[in-house]
Parts: sequence; structure tokens; C-alpha cells
Amino acid sequence: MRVVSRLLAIFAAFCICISSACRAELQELVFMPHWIPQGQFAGVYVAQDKGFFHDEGLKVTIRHMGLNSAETPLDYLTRGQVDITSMQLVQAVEARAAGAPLLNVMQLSQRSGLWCVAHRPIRTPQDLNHMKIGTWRSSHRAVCTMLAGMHGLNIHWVYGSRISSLFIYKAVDATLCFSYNEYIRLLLSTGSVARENVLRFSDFGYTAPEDGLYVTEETYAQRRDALERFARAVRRGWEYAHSHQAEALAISARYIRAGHVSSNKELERMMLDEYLRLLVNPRTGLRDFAPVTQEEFDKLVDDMVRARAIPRKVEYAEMIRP
Amino acid sequence: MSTPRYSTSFAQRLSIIVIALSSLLFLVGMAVVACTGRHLITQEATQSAANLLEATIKDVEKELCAVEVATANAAWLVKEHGNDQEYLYRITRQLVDSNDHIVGSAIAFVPDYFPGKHYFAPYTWIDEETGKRKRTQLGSGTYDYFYMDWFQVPRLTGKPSWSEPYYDENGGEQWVATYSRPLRDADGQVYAVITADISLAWLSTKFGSIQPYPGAYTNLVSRSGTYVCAPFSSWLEGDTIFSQAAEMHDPTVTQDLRHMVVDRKRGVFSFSEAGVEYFSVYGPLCNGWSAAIICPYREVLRSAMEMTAVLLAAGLAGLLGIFLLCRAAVTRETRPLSAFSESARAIASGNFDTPLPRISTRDEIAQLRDSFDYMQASLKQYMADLERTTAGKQRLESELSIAHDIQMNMLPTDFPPPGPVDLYAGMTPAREVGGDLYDFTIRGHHLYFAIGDVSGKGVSAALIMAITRSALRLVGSTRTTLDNVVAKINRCIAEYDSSGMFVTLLTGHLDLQTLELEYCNAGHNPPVVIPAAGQPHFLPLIPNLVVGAMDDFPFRMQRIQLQPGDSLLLYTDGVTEAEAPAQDQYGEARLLNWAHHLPADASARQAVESLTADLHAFTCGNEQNDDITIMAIRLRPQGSQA
Repeated sequence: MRVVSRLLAIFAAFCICISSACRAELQELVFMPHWIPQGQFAGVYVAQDKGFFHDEGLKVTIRHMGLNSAETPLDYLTRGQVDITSMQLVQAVEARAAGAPLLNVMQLSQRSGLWCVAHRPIRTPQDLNHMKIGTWRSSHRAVCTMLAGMHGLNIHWVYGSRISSLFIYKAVDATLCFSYNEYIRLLLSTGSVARENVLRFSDFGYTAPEDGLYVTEETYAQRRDALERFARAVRRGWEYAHSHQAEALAISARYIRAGHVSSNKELERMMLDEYLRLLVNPRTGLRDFAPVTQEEFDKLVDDMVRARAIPRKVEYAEMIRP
Repeated sequence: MSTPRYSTSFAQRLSIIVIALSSLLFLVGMAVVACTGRHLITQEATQSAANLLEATIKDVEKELCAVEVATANAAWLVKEHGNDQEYLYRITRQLVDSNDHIVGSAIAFVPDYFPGKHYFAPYTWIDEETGKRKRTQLGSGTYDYFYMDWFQVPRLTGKPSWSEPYYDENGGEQWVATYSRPLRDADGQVYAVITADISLAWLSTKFGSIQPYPGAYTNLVSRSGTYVCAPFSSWLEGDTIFSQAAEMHDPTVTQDLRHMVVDRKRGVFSFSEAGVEYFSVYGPLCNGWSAAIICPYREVLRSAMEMTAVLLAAGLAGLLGIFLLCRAAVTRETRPLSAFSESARAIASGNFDTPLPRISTRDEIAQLRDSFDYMQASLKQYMADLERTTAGKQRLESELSIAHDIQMNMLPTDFPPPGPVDLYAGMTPAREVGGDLYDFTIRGHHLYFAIGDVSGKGVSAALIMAITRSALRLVGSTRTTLDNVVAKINRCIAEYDSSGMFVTLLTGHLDLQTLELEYCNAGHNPPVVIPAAGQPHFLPLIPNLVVGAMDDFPFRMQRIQLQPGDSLLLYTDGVTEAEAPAQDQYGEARLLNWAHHLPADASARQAVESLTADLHAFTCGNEQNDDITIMAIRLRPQGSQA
């Protein structure tokens, strides 16, 4: 009996040691999405909630920026306050051209969801000329400069936080919007949006993929393995969100409530639905999270350079780490 | 005879018809009342809800207007003391103190309005927990108010505006809406925005208290359709009225909501959610928001439906009562009919003295009773007459039967035994007694025979037949010629008969040694001669006149030589005029044909029976309408022995 008790005590001590060792191996990462809590980041929320990060040996902290914050995730990233952030490709290229040591470690969105909605019909980009158009205050100036430059437009850009409100209160003539967010907000604020009042920039040459995961060169050099595991967990999170949409919505809702974000179930459902569509690679028809191709990257950079949105050309190899 | 059983009484059937018609009228009436009532009550409820909403909106607008006026007054002070930063705090404090609904106020200046101060926005708010006024400076890297709706919209539009509901993170930590008023400098440029934050709690309380009917609720939505107050717990704090409508999948509801929220109009519309029908009255507020009262029809119409149910129950009870009363009344009123039925059965069974029920009324039942009474008396009289008539008829039939026997006995049936001549005859009267006759007698080697037919039938004909037969016997015994015999009978009949009746008569005398036949015809049918060798044919006749028609008519006699083996068939017109069912007559041709097929060795009796059988076959049982008499005389063939 005493022998058995000793053996049990030794086994318990062994388990405690193993457990402590496992905990010690968890690597901490801080992730900051580039917008307030919403279904656009459901894959990350699911990865956190379902323990996919933990399965990869990661302890991830998700830190949201405030809606009214003057700072951008890039500021947090360059100050080393966060390890990873999500960002639009065009934003990242603008920052890289300006000298930020940004690297793309995973491309999420495979298509462009950038649209424009106006109070009157807009059939071509030229119809936007001389309009007062709402856009995001957070690092989308390059997008505006490029869009205006690509089509030779003279636009009065109005920067705001909730640009859909500016549009509803008719403080602007038109507003940029993402198909998965502001467009749906407008739809659920007014009941309907006339088809002829919507312009999809992808129909006029702007097809750059959007959201991706970005880190600094320093973080990439030091924690490449952890970043790869983070990317795997995010991918697993999105795959789970796709196959368990109701659960993904419920998980997202907890982050949205905690952030006191004004949203609703229908908005989040439509947002997740549309974002899952944007995750599909048009070349393969799969959600394969394929890296940006050099052709896509170079076209975007060339357009930006031509439109004087960035001062210099950024090379593919300079910032894409597939 | 047993009384048949009837499944449904007349009273019950009549009651069912009455109740069916009454139910139909009642249900139609109820449907009209229910539809009209529903329409009127809905109309009234809609108007009532619209009035209630309008009154509430006016109350709220009064409060919102007070906030706007207070803010406008404070804006004037900002222009006067804009450079005194401490005074600006006092202005925001005064604004918060001036109105119970204002929970915070700020005067937010445009970027770098004051040198060295990128953000400058003195802000006073009420701490919700302690109720104390607190002040702070808005604007920082994490609270960049330049891009917030409450600052940006009035700055861009140059007009005051009410913001969307939002969670005040840096102030009262509660859901608020902000009234913002732009401040312009001498050049007309917006240099600051003065705000008043109002708590949404009192709005929720105000609109939430409206409940004109159980289950009714109120919606207050912002310009973007976001619920400012809603009666349900939201999944997230940002439900819009359109996001709720999207779950209903009813495009007409979305259209109506656009009319309410986007067009900011007044109106009414109906919709269905989770199987419950609602109507909604809505109208705009002065700040760009919209409010609506939603009422479930079933609650609005509950009293009407209850009233309808009561009316329906009362109506059904009434109908049941009508049915029972109607059935009882009809049963009572038609009870004499049952008694009449019993009486009629008793009368029909022969009890003519059965008493009829007493009827005290003077209506159709009384008329029926009188008719029964008359029928009973008539039946009684009829049956008495019938008994007398039947007795007379039975007596007459008895007498006729006796007369029949007498008549039949008058006809000889002692036919001669086989010898030189074979004779057989038979008479079948159409009624009990007939008018046909036949007779024969053999004196030595002389055979005298006669056959006759009195016109008409029945008793009168039988009497004439009896007279004729008696006269024939009487005159025949006087050894005179046949024409004299007939003439005498003729005179005799003519004297007796005054009713125009006559007799056809054929008399004959056959010398059995010479086989010479003398005969005298008085209008009778020609006998058929069936020779032993040769074709049957009718005996040639002088027509003469019938007996009794003319008393002095000179009848003439005829002679013919017969041969051994010849046969002579005498008959009355009952043979040739016998009718088949198709009213064809037997006729002389058929008679000759029968004679042709008669076997050569047939006896006189066989000949009579053969013709009788042929007649029966022809008439197929058809009623005999005349007396039938047949006499056959057959001479012994050459060489045969008696």
C-alpha cells in the first residue's frame, strides 16, 4: 500500500512538472486588429475562443484600438506595443514606402471589397468628380490619393470615424465603404440602397486584395516560428468560422459587446457572410489564404506610384513573406 | 298490418329546417357585425394610438426643444466669453444644471484654435453613480473628437444636429445622444461646437410607458434607424429597425419603414411577426428621429372578439332554445295528426265507428278533422252499399249459374253412337249464359240438325236462344220442309222480340242412305265441307235473311250431294271472330287451313277438339268475347263398318 502511495505521488509530481513545462513554452503575442471589434475579425476571435492559439503553443492577447483613437495599429506596431496587426495591403505599402519596416506574413482577403455609395447615381469613377466624399481617417489617405489619381478626379475627401453616419446625415455627397461593413450598415440604416448609387472599384481596375497580417522586420527575424503558428491558428479559426457561422457570430458578439460597439445580429451575419466571400481566392475558388502574387503587388505599387500616393516603388520581396 | 317506424318526426324535421335557416341568418348577421365591428374598432384604435403617439412626441419634442434652447442660449455666452477658458467650463456647468435631461455638455473647438492646444474641449458631466458634476478636458490621442459625429456633422453641415445614440466612454459611461450646435466666427467659419448630451434612459422610460393595449410597445429610432429605445433586449447594442425587419423577410415592411425613417413621414401599416398580426402608427420627431406605437390586433380586438364570442354563444344557445321550443310547439300542434293517423288505420281496418280526435281550434287541422269525419261517414255508407250490391251480385251470379246449367242442359249431348254418321258438338258461352245453340235428332235414316247464333250476348240472348231452340223442336217435329221450319221460327221470333234482336240459323236434313243434304240458311256462317277426296271448302249458301228480322221473309232451301267419308263442320261467328292479343281475327282462311290439315280419319269429336285447341293456340289466352259453338258431322267412309 505504501509503495502504491509513493508511486502515485511520484506520478503526480511528474504531471505537475510536465504541465509547468508546457506552460512555460507558451509564447506570448499581442495582436491588434485594425478596426473596432466586428465580424471582420471572426477568425481571430474563434482561434482565441476555441483554443487554436493555445494548441499552437501561443498565448495571444487581442487588443483593439478605440473608434475615436487618433493612433493607428501601425503606431502600436512600430512602438513594439503589439506584435502583429492586421492591415489593408494598400495601407501597408504606403507605410513601407514611408519607411516603416513592415512585412506581410499572411494574406487574408483575396479580393477588393472597396465600394462607393452616393446620394445620386454613379456609374463611373468620373461621376465622383468634385464630390465631397467620406473616407476613413485611419491611414486610408493613400487609397484616396490613388483612386483620385487613377481616374484623374478632383475630390474633396472628408475623413471620419463613422463615415456611414456622415453619409446618412448628408454631411457628404458620397462615401467610401467596404462591402462587408459600411455598405451593410447603410443598407440596415435606410432599408435599401439603389443599385445605381453604388460603384464597385474592382469594376474599374482596382482589384488589390485587402486585409493581411503584418509584423515588423525585427519581430519577423526574432519570432518567425511563433508567427507561423499564429498564422496557422488564424487560418484554422477562419475555417472553423466558415463551417460554424452561428457559433462564430456568437463568439464575435462577446468582443463587440465588450467594446461597446454599436452593431446588430443581421449586420454581423451579413458581414461574416461577405467577408467569407472575400476570403475566397478568385484563382482557385478556395479559401487558401494564398499570398499576394507579385503581379498583383506590382500593379498596386505601380498604380500608387503613378498616382503619387507613395514616393517610391516598393519591391515584392521587400515586404511579402509567403 | 304493422305500423311502420319513421326515423325522423315531422316536428324534428321542421325544427331542423327552421333552425338551419335561422342559423344561416344568424351567422350572416354575426359575420356582418364582426367585420363591421372589427373595422370600426381597428379604425378607432389606430386613431387613438396615433393621437397618443402625437401627444407623446409633442411632450418629448418639448423637452428636446428645451435642450436645444438651453444650448442656443449657452452658445451666445461662448461667443461673448470665448477667450476665457475657465468661463467656458462654467458655461458647460450651467448648461448641465439648466436642464434635468442634460447629463453632459462640451464646447469643442476646432484643431489648434487656441495656440499650442491641438485639442480644446472643456466638458462637464454628471457622474451617474454619485450624481456629482465633474469636469475634464476632452481630446487626446485616444479621444480624437474631431472625427466624431457629434463634432463633425454640425461642423460639415453648419447646422445643429442630433447624433446617433452612442456609448459615452470618456464621460458618463452610459448610452447618450448629443445635440450639437456649431459656433461661427465673424467670417462664418465654424470654430467650435457646443453640445448637450442627453441620457437615453428618460426617453426609454417615456416611450416605454406607452402601452395603449396589452402587448403593445413603442419604438424610438434615430435617423439611421437605430433603436433609441426598444421593448426587447437586443442581441447587440445597435439593432436597427431595418435589421429587425430583415429577419421578417417582408419587403413591404421595409418600404413602410423607409417611409417612416428615411422619408420621416406619418403613417400606419400592418405586418405579421411570429404569426401575430400588428399595426404600427408612426411619426417623426423634430430632431430627425422617428417613433412608432405597435399594437397587436388581437389585443385591440380582444374586447370585440370576447363580445363576438358572447354573442355567438348566446346566439347558439338561442338557436338551441328555438329548436327545442319549435320542436315542442310543432309536436303539440301536430299531435292531432298522429291521432288522425291512428284513426285512419283503425278505419282502414274496418272499424268505421272509430272516434276521431277532438279539435278545439278552427284552423286547417279542424278542416282536416271535418274531412276525416266526412270520409268516415262516406266510407261507412259506401261499405253498406257495397255489402248490398255484393249480396245482389252473388244472388245474380247464383241465378246465372243456374241459368247456365239450364241452358247447357237444353243442348243435346247424347251424340249418336258410331254408325253411318259420326256427330259431335260443343258450345262455350262467353259469359255465364250464351246466345248460341245447336240441336240434332235422328229419325230412321234421317239426321236433322241446326246451329244458330242469337245477336247480342248475356241473359237476353240466352232467352232468345231458349225460345229459338224450343221453336226449333216444336216446328221440327211437324215433318215439313226446312224452309217452312225456318219461316215459322222466323215468325215466332219476330212476334216475341221487340228489342230488334235476331238469330242466324242454319238447319239441315241429311239422308243417311242417299247422303243427300238439304239445308236452309238464315244469315249464318257457311259450314265447311271437308270432302274425303279434295280440298275443304265452304258450303254454297243462299244468304236469305236472319231469323226475326222480317216476319214474312220467304226463306229458300238448298240441296247438295255428299259422299261417304265427307265431313261437315258447322260453327258460329265466335270461331271466325276469335281475337288474338294483337286483335287479329281467326278468320275463314285460317279455318280452311285448319280443315286442310285435319287428319282424314279424325272423328267428329276429334275435329271439334282439334278446332277448339287451334282456337286456344291462336287467342293465347285472350279473353273470349263471343260464344263459340262447333258441330262436326262425319259420314262413314266407303267400305268401313260401323
